[in-house]
Amino acid sequence: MFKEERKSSRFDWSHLGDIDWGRPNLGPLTAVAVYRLMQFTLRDAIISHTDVATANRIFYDAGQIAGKAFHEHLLQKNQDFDAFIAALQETLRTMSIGILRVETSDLLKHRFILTVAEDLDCSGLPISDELVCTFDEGFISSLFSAHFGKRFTARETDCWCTGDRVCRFEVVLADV
Amino acid sequence: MTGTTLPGNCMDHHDIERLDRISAHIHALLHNEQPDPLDLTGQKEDEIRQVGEFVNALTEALSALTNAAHQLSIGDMDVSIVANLPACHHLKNLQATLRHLAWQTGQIAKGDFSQRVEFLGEFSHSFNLMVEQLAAYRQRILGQNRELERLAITDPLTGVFNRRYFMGFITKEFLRSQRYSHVFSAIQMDIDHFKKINDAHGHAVGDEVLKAFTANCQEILRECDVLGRFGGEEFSIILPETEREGALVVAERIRQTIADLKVYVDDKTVRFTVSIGVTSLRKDDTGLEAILRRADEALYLAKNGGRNKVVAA
Repeated sequence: MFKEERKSSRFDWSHLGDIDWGRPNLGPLTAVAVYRLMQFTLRDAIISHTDVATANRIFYDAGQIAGKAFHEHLLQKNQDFDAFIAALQETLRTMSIGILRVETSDLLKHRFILTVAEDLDCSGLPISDELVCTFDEGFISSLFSAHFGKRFTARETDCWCTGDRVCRFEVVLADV
Repeated sequence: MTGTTLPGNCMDHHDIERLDRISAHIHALLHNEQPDPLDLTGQKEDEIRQVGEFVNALTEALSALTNAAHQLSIGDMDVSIVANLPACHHLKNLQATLRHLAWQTGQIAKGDFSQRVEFLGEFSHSFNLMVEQLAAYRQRILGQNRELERLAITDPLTGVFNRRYFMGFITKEFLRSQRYSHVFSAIQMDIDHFKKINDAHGHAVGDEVLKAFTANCQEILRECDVLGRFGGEEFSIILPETEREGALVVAERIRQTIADLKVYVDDKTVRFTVSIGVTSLRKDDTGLEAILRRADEALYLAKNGGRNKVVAA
């Protein structure tokens, strides 16, 4: 299930397990520091074994898999864009992932600019002049792809680590 | 981030002179003046030079911050805030909030009243109140529009459709029938001796008779049928997808129901009858006028034939 050799994703929501059953005393929540400990040590190890570009690609791909599963299991399908954004905002906030806001939405050109404040991945990290939310890029691109049924890409343009207080993402249709 | 550090304590009078110049420079900055950049290159004392570099960097950052704040204050929400000072971070946060607010306002203009503003203190409260009131006003206006639309097409006394709506409906029905080769029937009705009812019992009783008449007709008609008031005691019905025979059955049912009807008003009991003309669309009908004329002629024959009758044409 988890350790089979594979060339493509086999992730399934069931892999997350029955958390209520498995953690009757500790419950479904954990500390943000623990999440980041996992995220940044994993990035550290991947870079050590490969290189930064590979690490970024892995995090982007993982984000895409997560976004697809997130959309499938936590958001309603066939909503209009406004309802999709409202549901996404609500879910991200309820799950303490971040505060999503929209700055631009061009439904004709399929171009969107979003910000995430109090981001789970990066808010409060040291300023390093680096855009670090690669996982979020994949996650957001996949959410939009699932919603519109077309392939989107997301690119982070501002990040807490570059001195911004929010992470800003530009989401556009992928080149075909 | 700058690596500049503050100078140590071992200074002579030259150092103090230089520091005086630095102090004057900072004073100018604090008073919103534009001092010349401090040029301390070539000085021996590294620590003094570092202070100079620090102040120059600070000057540059403050200048960028001032410019960004100014641009933001005049509505340029895309201004680039590049300086790396804590105040800039707050300004960037404000910039992101304002950009989102602009998007939200656009959404509200499109009719999405679910938008709510947070993070802007008292403004959020007022803004959200405004959106809630806008939504309530919109609901009220929509409700009023629906009521106005209803009033514009109905007869206020009986609640059935008025002549204008009825003519619009029959015109559409005629065109639809022509296009799809469907049939429909028209019924023309006139309450017999209605003037006598008014004269004998008064207009209030006459009104009750009209209301009872239409209410009983509605009971007999299908939802797709349309009953309209053409004039005082004259009414019409359109029966979509109904042949002549079916229309005659409906007309006879109405006639019989009305003939059996007793209307009680105060201590009076009123009975009345109705004359009815029936017609259906014919293949050679090229216009609506022919159908209406036939229905009128049939009604005329019913009246002349002794009233309380159904005549088909």
